[in-house]
Amino acid sequence: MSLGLALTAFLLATMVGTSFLSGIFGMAGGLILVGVLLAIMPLPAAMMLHGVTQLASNGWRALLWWRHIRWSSVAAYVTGCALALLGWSLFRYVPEAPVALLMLGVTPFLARLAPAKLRANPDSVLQGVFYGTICMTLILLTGVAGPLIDTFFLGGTLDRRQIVATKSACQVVGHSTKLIYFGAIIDQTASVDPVIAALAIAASMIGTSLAARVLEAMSDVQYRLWANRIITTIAAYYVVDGAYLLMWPVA
Amino acid sequence: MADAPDPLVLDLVEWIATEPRPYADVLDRWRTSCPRLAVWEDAVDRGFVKRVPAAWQGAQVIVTESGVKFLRDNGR
Repeated sequence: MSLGLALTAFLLATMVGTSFLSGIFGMAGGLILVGVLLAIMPLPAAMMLHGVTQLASNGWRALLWWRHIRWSSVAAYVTGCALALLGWSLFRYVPEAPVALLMLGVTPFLARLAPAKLRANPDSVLQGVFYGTICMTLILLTGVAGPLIDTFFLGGTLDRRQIVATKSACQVVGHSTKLIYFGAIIDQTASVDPVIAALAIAASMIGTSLAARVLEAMSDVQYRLWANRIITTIAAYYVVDGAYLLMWPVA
Repeated sequence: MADAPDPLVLDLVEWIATEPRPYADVLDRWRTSCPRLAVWEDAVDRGFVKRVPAAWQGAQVIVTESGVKFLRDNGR
């Protein structure tokens, strides 16, 4: 799909801003970006463009930390992704934007709902397949599954480099699968203009670099306080907005 | 942002215990953005490490007494 000049400029500015936020708070930017994309383009196109930027950032991280990837965990996760793709391909389901917004808003809270005693184990094949299936479903419905994937990797004995590397490799698989689903499997397939995709990746890199400077100047107390406030506010907004649109659809 | 598991906090405290580290160095080496692991924040909140002014290098990070006890209790 082609975008006008003004819309492209707005989108790139949003991507710089959201990757800046993500660089500081981990996930706030991703939540905002998906919401903005859903507001200005059809869901399949939004998922494709979001998938390209996610694929680039996670692919780069996985490449940098290649030696630290826990391949057994990735294999189990990939199996789960394949099962989810197979399942959803049978229905070729594309959620309405309000449903996607509602689920997007619930995503950050999913991780907090899991009982504290229920500790995930990234070395368990069964759990890897389970998380792969659930996270892939979430990626296809909302575009993001980061917070839930985090709970899987934080439960084991992986060191921080293994966590970052293995999560990135799993995210590469998840977002590649998302591109296949929205680009080739569903009825209203979408595509991404390669120029827009390249500009989007560049905008994300600029935002992430800017974030590093601000993070150093921010006190640790401010950081934790604002991370929780911002993510909760954005998520709550999506839940309210999605629920409102479901009950009173825009004609 | 995810709370850091104990082994990661242990790794950080042990790394700082070998010698005081410049604050910028600690953030540079331990900060991750995806997932955003709050290893440093957890270590500070639990009182295992603290930031102190240093004459020539800005702030430095040192291990506290409870940080040393945390290491000892966990066999490090």
